[in-house]
Amino acid sequence: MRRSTMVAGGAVLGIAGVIALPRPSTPQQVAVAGNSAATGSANGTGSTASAAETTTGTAASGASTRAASTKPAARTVTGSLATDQYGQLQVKLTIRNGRITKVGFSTFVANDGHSVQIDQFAAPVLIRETIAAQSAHIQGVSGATYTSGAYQQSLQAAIDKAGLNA
Amino acid sequence: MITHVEHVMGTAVSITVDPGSGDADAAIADACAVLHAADVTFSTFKAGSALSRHRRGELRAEQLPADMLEVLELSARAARLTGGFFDPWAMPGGFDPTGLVKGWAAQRAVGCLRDGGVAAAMMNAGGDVACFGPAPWRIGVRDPGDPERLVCVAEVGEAIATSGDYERPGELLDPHDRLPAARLVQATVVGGDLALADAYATALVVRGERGLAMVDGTPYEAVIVTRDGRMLATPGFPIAARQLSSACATSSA
Amino acid sequence: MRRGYRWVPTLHHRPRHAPNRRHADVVSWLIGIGIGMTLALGVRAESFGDLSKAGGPATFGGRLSALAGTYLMLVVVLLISRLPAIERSLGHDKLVRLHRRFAPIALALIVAHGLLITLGYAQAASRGALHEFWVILTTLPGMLMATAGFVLLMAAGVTSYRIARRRISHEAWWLVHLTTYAAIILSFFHQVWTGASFVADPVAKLWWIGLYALVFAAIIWYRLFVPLWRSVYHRLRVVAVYPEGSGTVSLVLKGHHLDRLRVNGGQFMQWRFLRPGLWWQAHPYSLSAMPMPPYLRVTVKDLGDHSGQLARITPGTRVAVEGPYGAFTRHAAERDKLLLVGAGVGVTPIRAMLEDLPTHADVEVILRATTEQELVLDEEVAELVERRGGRLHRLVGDRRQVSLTPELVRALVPDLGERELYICGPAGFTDRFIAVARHLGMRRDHIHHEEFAL
Repeated sequence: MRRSTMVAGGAVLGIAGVIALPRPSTPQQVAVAGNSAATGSANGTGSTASAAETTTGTAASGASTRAASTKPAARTVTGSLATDQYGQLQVKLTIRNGRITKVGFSTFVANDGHSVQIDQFAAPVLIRETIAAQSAHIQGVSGATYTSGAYQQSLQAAIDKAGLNA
Repeated sequence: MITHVEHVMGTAVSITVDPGSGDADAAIADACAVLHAADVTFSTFKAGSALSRHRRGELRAEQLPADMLEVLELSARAARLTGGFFDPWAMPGGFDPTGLVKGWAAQRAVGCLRDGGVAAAMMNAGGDVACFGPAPWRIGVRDPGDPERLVCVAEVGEAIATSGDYERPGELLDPHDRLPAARLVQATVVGGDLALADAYATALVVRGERGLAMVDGTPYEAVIVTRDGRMLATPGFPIAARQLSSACATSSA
Repeated sequence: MRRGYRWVPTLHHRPRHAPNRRHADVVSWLIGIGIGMTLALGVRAESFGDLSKAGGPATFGGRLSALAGTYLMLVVVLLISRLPAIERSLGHDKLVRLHRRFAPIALALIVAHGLLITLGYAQAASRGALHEFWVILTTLPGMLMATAGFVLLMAAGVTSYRIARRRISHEAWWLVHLTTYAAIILSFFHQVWTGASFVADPVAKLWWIGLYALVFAAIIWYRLFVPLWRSVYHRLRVVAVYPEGSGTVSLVLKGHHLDRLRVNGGQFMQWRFLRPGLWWQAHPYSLSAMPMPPYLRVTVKDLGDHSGQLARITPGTRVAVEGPYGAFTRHAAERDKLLLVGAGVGVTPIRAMLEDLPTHADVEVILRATTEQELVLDEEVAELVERRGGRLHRLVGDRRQVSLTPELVRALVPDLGERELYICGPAGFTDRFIAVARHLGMRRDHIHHEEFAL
């Protein structure tokens, strides 16, 4: 067999090997970005992370956040870097007392032209993984329209039931 | 907190009210009346509803009820804003604003609750939520693949709507060619008006990831689930910070 | 040809040191698997949604060409890393030819990558291409390094282009070329920091880093460490310089542990004479005899700067060596009947091979030179041919006197069809002889040819 044939044959094997490999499920990119949510910028629907932390709503965790509001040293943690055609995205989390108090969304360079590019095109960011509903302390669930029948098995029904029995 | 579930418009509407100093029961009753009235006017299953008669061409312009006019105008606006990807006129049986009506009615009903003097309220009409209150409501966005899981938790101040292909597959049509088209598995939109959020969400599912450009520059934010399993959110989507505690513990940051 | 010394050729049983051709086969398969995996990983990192966006196809093309071009560049560098698995089977000169053939393709792919990515990003951002290039350069990590690397690669490529290469000195060319290692390393960073194929996929990233690590490990080991070790181990020094006539000299070197030097007749080594002005160049010269421990011999004709200075080299000069390299050995042939042709100083590997051939080899030797004086080492060749029971033809005269025609060759070697040809000499002569041999029906894979001018 000619060596060039071996190279070609190897290439076929290599391609087959990669196809056989399982795809990376959700890429290890940006954990989450809540630009306006965290930093309270004008964009978005105007809720801020600090508001979430001091929510007086039904989430029991809200109360415990209040209790732990002395100010130990804050730690900043940066998430892994993600790149797509819009540029470099990186999550910056401020952690105080074991809780995330701020979620920042920083571009890798301070170049304003670059961050404008991101805003301009609303480059979507990846959400890393789904959350178990139980631990999320939600008050409602938004999903595709369900019929009355389907409602019975839904999460919303479970929440309503808890509310009705409360 | 007071919880009430009303079965109307073919779905279950969950109402959660923080009475404050108002009369919650009265307010809820008013709100439900609004929902039922909308059901009567806009049901495509009832042959005598104004919508059905309008579809059959039985009503002249001056005979259209005020609600119908309002929905017609809203539909036109939605069609324009979504670039024609949400178009109630391009439906098989004729003009069908059903995708819009639920949200529109729920928004109105929540207005009723507000007028009734309650402190805060959240109404979930079959997956579309309208709300108000001093603090945002924590609304989870369903994981289309698993009803026990959420894509994220959103902090909603006014409205959130979700459209998807999984509850009733094949129902969403691309208005341009009238063929079933769902390029996304699910799309969720947060914004000021529930009907419009609904329209955007539906248009996004039909249009696909490219459709995110629609909400660019508007106060509406979206989170989508693509067919290849990616979950994307627009940078301004109000994801609740607290949900990160579990995700962060396992992250490699 | 009267000489001041006598080197006694020896015919005794020698260890074979045969190359294992299977190693080269394995390397070929691995290279193939590598390119397949690299391209497939690149395609896998794309989402089809991206392709329908503005700039999507251009960006995709840019990524694929980056992967293909860089992989090819790594292969091209591996070819000349002196990796024994391939060098022993193919021979350094053939590997250099392969290197020369594929390096421009790799460079072209990398140029395409730069253009396509800039274009794709520009389309996505609705910006002009030049403006986009500036944005890329100033905002994405590793880009300045990558650009510097690219400039170095282009410089190496341009100066290697034949027309340019003839105009600059060998030293200048070699220095520019050496910077390609730095260029490849500089480019590496933007690949793993910015490359879409790697940022999202840890498997692909690991693969890519592994590839780089492997290639550079091979370079450091076989190009730097092994030659260094060999030079220290054998501690060669020049002991005598003998004129062979018409500008040709033989250098006899003495060293340690030469019995451990695994060499086949016909191979060459890279010689670095440790003298001011000579130490920083390494030149390939064939051994003109099998080692006679503790002695080695090379025979060199004054053809240019370096070779001319060797005639005046001082005995005692230390020498650093690399090798032995080359596939121009007895192992290249499958037949026992051989035709060995050496022109001028091209006789040197032939002369060495005559000591190393198996006992049952049937040799016919043609020595070609313009004048009698230019027939170097012919007495030794004659002695060896006689001891082997072969035949020797001396073709002396200029081109008008000796016309290389099929008739002449057929008359000299009637059983040409049964022999394999080994030929070494100036390019003009060897090309002509090979053409004649092919005209007389000789198969290409029975012709073994070493190109001296690298």
